[in-house]
Amino acid sequence: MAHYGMVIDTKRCVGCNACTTACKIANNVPEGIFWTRALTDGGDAPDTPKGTFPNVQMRYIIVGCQHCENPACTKVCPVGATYKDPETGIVRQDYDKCIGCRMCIAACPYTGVRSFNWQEPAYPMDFAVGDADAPAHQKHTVEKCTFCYQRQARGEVPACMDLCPARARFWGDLDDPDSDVSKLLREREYMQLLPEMGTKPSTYYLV
Amino acid sequence: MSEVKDPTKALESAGITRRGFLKTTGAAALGAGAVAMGGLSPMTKAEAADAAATEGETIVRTSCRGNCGSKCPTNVVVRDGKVVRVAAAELPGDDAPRRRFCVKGYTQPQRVYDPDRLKYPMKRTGERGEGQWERISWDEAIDTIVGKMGAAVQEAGGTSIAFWSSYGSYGVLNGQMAGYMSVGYGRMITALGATVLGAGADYAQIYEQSTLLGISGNDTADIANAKTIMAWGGNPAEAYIHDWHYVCDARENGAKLITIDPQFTASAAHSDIYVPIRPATDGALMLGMANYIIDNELMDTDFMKAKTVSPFLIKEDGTYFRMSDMGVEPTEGPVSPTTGKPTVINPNVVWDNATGALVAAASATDPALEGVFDYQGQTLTTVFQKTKDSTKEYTVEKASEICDIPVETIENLARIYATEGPVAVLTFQGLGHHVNSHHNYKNLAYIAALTGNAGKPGAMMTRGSGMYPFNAKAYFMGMGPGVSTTGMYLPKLMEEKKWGQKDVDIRVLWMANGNMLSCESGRQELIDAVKKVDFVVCADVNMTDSAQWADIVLPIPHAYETEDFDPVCPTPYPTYYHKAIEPLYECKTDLEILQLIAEKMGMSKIYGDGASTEELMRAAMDSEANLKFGGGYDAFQDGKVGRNYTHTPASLVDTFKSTASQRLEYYIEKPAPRNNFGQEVHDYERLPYYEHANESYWENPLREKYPLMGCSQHNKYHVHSQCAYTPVLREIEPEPTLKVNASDAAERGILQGDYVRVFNDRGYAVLKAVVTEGIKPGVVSIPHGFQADQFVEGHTQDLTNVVMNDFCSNSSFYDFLCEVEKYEGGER
Repeated sequence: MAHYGMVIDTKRCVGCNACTTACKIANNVPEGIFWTRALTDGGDAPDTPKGTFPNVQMRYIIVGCQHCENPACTKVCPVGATYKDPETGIVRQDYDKCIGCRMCIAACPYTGVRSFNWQEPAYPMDFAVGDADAPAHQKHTVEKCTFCYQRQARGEVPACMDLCPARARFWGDLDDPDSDVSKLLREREYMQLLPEMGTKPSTYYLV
Repeated sequence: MSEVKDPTKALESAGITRRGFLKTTGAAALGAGAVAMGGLSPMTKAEAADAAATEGETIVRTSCRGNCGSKCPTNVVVRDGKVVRVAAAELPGDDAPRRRFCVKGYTQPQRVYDPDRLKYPMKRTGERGEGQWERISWDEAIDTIVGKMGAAVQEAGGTSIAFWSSYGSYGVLNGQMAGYMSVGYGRMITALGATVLGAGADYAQIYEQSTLLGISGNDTADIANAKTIMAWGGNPAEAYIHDWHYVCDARENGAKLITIDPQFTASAAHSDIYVPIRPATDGALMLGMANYIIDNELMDTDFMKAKTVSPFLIKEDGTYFRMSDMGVEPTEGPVSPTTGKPTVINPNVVWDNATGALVAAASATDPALEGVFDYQGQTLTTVFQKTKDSTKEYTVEKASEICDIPVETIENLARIYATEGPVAVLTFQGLGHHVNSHHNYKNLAYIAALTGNAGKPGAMMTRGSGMYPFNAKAYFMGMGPGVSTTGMYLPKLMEEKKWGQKDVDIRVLWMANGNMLSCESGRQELIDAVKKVDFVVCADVNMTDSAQWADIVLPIPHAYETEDFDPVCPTPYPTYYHKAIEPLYECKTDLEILQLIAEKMGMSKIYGDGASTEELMRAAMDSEANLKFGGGYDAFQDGKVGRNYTHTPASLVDTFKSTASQRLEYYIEKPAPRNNFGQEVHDYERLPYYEHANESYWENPLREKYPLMGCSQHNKYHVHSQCAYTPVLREIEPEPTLKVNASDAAERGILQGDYVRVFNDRGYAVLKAVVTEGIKPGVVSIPHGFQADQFVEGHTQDLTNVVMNDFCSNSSFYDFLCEVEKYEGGER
């Protein structure tokens, strides 16, 4: 039993999107879809600040599936395609079971972290990149970040965790008091996204 | 299509109120498709612990290739003959934290199969630059090129063949370090006595700071030892991200981060102090700080006396006063490894306050920093005195006016710089892209000399990069190139047909290892010059802006399809490029192409009459020293990362070992221009100095017509023009944008996302505006790396100027003024 979670240090993150592309390649994510991405907390365009020059502020928030302890998505799925894995705490998505009703997208308060393949998924190349054992994408199904469970099965970290250039990302078992993530949450101030929704996200942002 | 809802609304209550990610465009057209490939080359065995491969996958160690300066040791995963995944290689032992990779690296599996890859040789069918091409065979391509080259050499000599490059590759087989240094290009160029047209970019720093002042910079890892970090002309959070985690480490230990930049970058966002300086005025800020430091006695005089040239005496003619000037004959020192002759020891003289006499610098106990002295009627002045006198007009108040920074801010910066060291100044090309830029590096060395911010851990004037030893003799057939200069002088050469006193009638232009017609400054004038050349060849991986102006284009392989060795060492690990897959399509390496040409021209002996890749690689790598230290060709064949044996703990800090005086220098005794064509050299080239930029200065009357000062940014989603069409990067950043301050936009009726026309007398571009509070009013930032067909119209590089400072021959990318207006032509 474990409860995997992610801690992202906003004091280090520079919104470079290395995690975004590592994820995209490792999971052969189709065109038009990102499972994780760097959002600018600032102005109304990427990489722009709020305020009036030169008194301005900007920070980056990396947003993907929050792998909530109390997920809204799993409760509404009529077929059990999205479910919480009791062994790891990871919110998973079974493409074979998914009927494409998109109730999970409607229920999830973290808009944009789940995507629906309206058409046959499209790719730049005619062969699959990434992990050989990453699940194939399917038309008329919902998909999202899986915490790269194919990698975990091999004892590896998720693709986005492999090397963050800023060393801003941490991943591990939140139930293990000696894990990096647990230590950081004891030592540093943090925030979570939409805590008032009661979803208890497993993603934390050090501030 | 996929449903991606706007995340903004849901995140509002979490304090994230704005959308920060462009909506992706539709499915990208794909030209390249995959083609069947031949058998795989023998794979390199990676260390088991480092292999994240699953069954059926092979890992090959190599790196990206391009001018980001990173050279990340990379594991490439190949499955079914295709590159499917990449990851940063683990580095052993204490080097583990140096492991590096970035957003562009992760996308290389797509870049290998980019839609704009050149697949086979092509010849132009329409007018030059029209984009009409016809596929031809390699035989036809080589025959045509050899015919043109042969005729040109016969009619106009070796210099009529010009090889124009930039920083695309430093490979010992296929690259063009310094314009021609590789087995492939070096041997062809020196055998022909051809003209070398090297890069103009970055030479304010390379020539002034590295070559003339001998400042090599401290190691990346040493940034963590700084107490204050100044991102000054550099943007470690975005432009050189491998420095950033060391910046963060220093900050977690209490270091202060200061960003001095007209643009509010990600580095600025993380900074304790952000100083929005007016472009091209950094040199004045440095001199203002220097005067504050002197006036308030914040100098580290012990350091100045012992570790800098400050007490050295100079004669009225500007040269150093040495012991030979007092009749003491120079003595012979150890044999120089470069000349093979004994070095001459003729010590500099200082005034020793302790004895009241002129003595050799090393024997003085209290050398005078200030003062004017007489020696038999000759007036001798200390370097510091002369510098102080010549720069005293740049008071804090005057600097404040020039730089548009409050007096108190400059005083605060000066105090921090002098008293809160060691200070790591992360300068890069933000200080190097104007006609006045090269002075910045003398001025920075001056303030470092005043305060002791050099020569010790955490104190640096730039972050350095090492070099793996190689055998440069392997690159030379004759004496050297016929002419070696900067490609930016191509318009001058085509106009005057002379370089100095030498006739140079360029008939054949070979462009490779760079995309000069996208990335050099003054694009339109360069294109005009290229049009005047009879015959133009371009060898590249992709159909670039430069390739578009060629008569024949030749496809070369991606880095992962090439065997080569890059000695540049920003980490202690040079890059051995092992071939992960066979070259796609009909690609041939630069070396293979040059070998075919040599054979056809009856010159095959320059490449050892069909010598193998291994033999040629050994010629470059198996130098006596490399073999002695076990660092030759064989050391890189076992799949492990090979460490640079010259990288030691002493490499962490630049202790002035590259300077003649073995001290920190900010005075240049004998200033000579980088590309000498007989131009005048001003006396001020010796000293810290400030002059305004060529075009981009506040008082320029041209601002009535073109009020906005230009600049750009080292873009995080391109490697210069590489990755221009890499699909995932263009999903993240689909099109070029112009950053304009919200107040400037409002004055011109420009709204967020409007298409705008940015223009000056040299050219224009139409592109989308990013209206932002993240750039100084009066300044606009143009994109870098997008190709001509990615703009609605024009090209932002057309705004830039070919004019350089002829002392250092440095491309002045940011030295332009322009105006912006709303584009009325609608969206494309």
